[in-house]
Amino acid sequence: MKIEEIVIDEPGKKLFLLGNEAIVRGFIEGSGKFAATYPGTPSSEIGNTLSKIGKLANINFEFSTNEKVAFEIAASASLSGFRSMTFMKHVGLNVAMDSFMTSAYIGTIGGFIIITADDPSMFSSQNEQDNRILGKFANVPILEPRNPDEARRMVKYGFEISEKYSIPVMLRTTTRISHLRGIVNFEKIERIENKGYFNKNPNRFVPVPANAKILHKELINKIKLLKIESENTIFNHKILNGFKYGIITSGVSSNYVMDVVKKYSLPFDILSLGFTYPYPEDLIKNFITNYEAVFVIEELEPFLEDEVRIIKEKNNLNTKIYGKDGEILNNLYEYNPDRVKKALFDFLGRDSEKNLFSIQDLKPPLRPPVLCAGCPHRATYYSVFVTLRKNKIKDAIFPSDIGCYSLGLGPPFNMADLIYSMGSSVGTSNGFSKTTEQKVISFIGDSTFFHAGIPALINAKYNKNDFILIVLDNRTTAMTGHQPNPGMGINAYGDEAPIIEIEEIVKGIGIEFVKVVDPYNLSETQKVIDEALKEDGVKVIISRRECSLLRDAKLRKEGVWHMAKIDEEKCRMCKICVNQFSCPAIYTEDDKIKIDENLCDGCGVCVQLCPFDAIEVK
Amino acid sequence: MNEYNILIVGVGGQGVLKLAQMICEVSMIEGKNALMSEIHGMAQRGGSVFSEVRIGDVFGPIIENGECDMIISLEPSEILRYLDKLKNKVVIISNNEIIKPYTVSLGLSAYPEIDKIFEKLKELTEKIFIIDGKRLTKESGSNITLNSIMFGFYSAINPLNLKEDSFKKVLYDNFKGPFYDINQKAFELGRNEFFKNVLK
Repeated sequence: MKIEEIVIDEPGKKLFLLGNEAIVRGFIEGSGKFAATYPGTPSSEIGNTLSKIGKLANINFEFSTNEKVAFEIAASASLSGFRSMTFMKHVGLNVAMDSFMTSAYIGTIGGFIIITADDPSMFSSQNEQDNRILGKFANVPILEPRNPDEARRMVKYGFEISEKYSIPVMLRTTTRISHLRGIVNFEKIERIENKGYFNKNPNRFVPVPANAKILHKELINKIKLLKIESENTIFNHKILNGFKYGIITSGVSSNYVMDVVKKYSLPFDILSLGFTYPYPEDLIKNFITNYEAVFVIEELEPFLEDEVRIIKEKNNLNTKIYGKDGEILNNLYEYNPDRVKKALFDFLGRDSEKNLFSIQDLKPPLRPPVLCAGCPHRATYYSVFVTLRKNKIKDAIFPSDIGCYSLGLGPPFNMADLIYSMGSSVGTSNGFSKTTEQKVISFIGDSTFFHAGIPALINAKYNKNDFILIVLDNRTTAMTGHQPNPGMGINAYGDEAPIIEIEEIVKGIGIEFVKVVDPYNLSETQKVIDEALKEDGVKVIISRRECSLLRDAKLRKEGVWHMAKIDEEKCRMCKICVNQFSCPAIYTEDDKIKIDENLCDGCGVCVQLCPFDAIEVK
Repeated sequence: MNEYNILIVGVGGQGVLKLAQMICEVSMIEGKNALMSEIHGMAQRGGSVFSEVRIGDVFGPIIENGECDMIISLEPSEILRYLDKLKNKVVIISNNEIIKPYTVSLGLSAYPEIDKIFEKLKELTEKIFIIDGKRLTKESGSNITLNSIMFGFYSAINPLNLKEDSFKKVLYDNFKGPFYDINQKAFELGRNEFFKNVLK
């Protein structure tokens, strides 16, 4: 499959698409015109796909500096009359929360969809918050697709109800939907031709208290009307076989329920929900009335379960409710067929144990994610390590941030001491510089700096705080798949864009110590870190070098490939390259240092740190 | 229930996801339902990568423990992470070329002897195919073709009885320009490996 096929107007065509790609197809079919995001796993491929095909589909798409900005851009596109969406990982919605809450009051003109991609089990996240709670909190309808094709359909349905009720719609995926690849059936592409125009209406768009009082009342009314939609939508359906027991489930969990109930012919009727808020109260009531016992099977928070229990109480029903009350089904981590099967088998008094194959004495090696071979961040970490050792500083604090460099927490560097959220490296450095005598050396990436680092850096200057901020500027948003950012000189479509220079921003704040170094040049980098350690106040070092994955991809295309080689005659097995630098391309075998030909990209940093000149790049 | 479950495992950068996608697409164009899970983001950086492929009358992307019919391992020790998933008599296709993580050099973990891994796996199944990935990638003329070699080998075993042309179509649809030629060669090498060396 080539991704360009996603824009073809050929009803009946089938493509094997990722949930995130199917969302883009739904956006195109529904005549979506405006999209904005800040990249974040598991939502990133929506943006990556739009980057590749958005122009072809006549979509205005941008990578914004953060989720709040992206949210506001998409919201104002809706108010200009366009069908629009913004999409982000679950924690991204925290950043956009301020505008999100009020957007429910203000409503929409063109359909407006907010996609939140939650990450149960935290494959790539710092928490596993369930954003359905935020959707309910803001009072917006919530759609939970079960597979890629349904995600496509729900984007279009979301546009319809968003316009019909003038309300933003939350489409909530999880990692296993966003990153599930399945067969997607194409439908006709709807063509809505409109020009953006903003019709002023301050009573509605300016929520000063007098207006907001009215808007809140209207919102509650809209939710009442939307309840009729959720009671009747085709996205909520029942599978009835006249059994004594029932299951209420939603989103990805419904797949595990279907797999297990069908495979083992279990005696459960199923109410499977895709439109979960406003709760389809009557549908739920009528379902649970019929059964002796009902399981509520949903990942993370008891979002449906709590409501099911309320409905049971309100209606004096005798049905016994089972939910997140056990060791098997609870608020932790993603569900899977084994968890669902065990819970249901235990309830039925059946034995779910299988004899699984195991090998007692052989274990796989630990293979945690690592900074890649050639990663400039590793070189920076090494220079910080060497310079601190030289200055006999042993207890420096390393506030870090969200990005590849979070991986600095592992050995041998151990240089990530605290992370809360995007930009928190700089915020917490402000705090530590006031509360301790320890040196504070803080790490943030280029994209993260633009996202949320700048306000905290202004604070540092304003409140006369004292720390070193190292901006690990690898000229991209690497962790999420190399999306462009304002420092790179290209926009979401790869077209030329103005370069926003980080050093100019820092100087603009009035910070005097601003130096740009090349992390591949170890002696220069160490000299600058050494200077910074001796100065008071805020010091910013921009450690600038393109992400090695990007460089390697270019070199591969050109057919140029350098590699480091060990001269075994010269090597004295001091193992500095292994123990203190720990590039994944360097390893020991048969008491010799070796370099993996497939991994080494010839960055040459190990050449500089070898005290015996035993490594050279060829 | 009609289902066939394949686990594809390896290390970030080896092409696990592409291989899984191609395997699914062959089934799709022959009218079967197919699903696969992917892992992105932080988990990908040189760490373990796996994809669960499910073909047939299935809903969710996760294979139940003990229900995996075939495992394709691009790095031999990675099989050990997924033993719980494997069915009795599972088909195992594994590269024999190892990638040592830095934790081994730092002494934080040990790399198991691969002969022992395959020896132990014989207790579970006789259907173990060990692929000399290093030799075959060299023959293909590129060091990034392991996934297409495995795709060729899979097409030769062909557990779902799909047409040879369907495999070739999917391969063609997935690679552009000069990359197609290299991967087409790799595919044939993998396919011939089964017919020449294994069947013999």
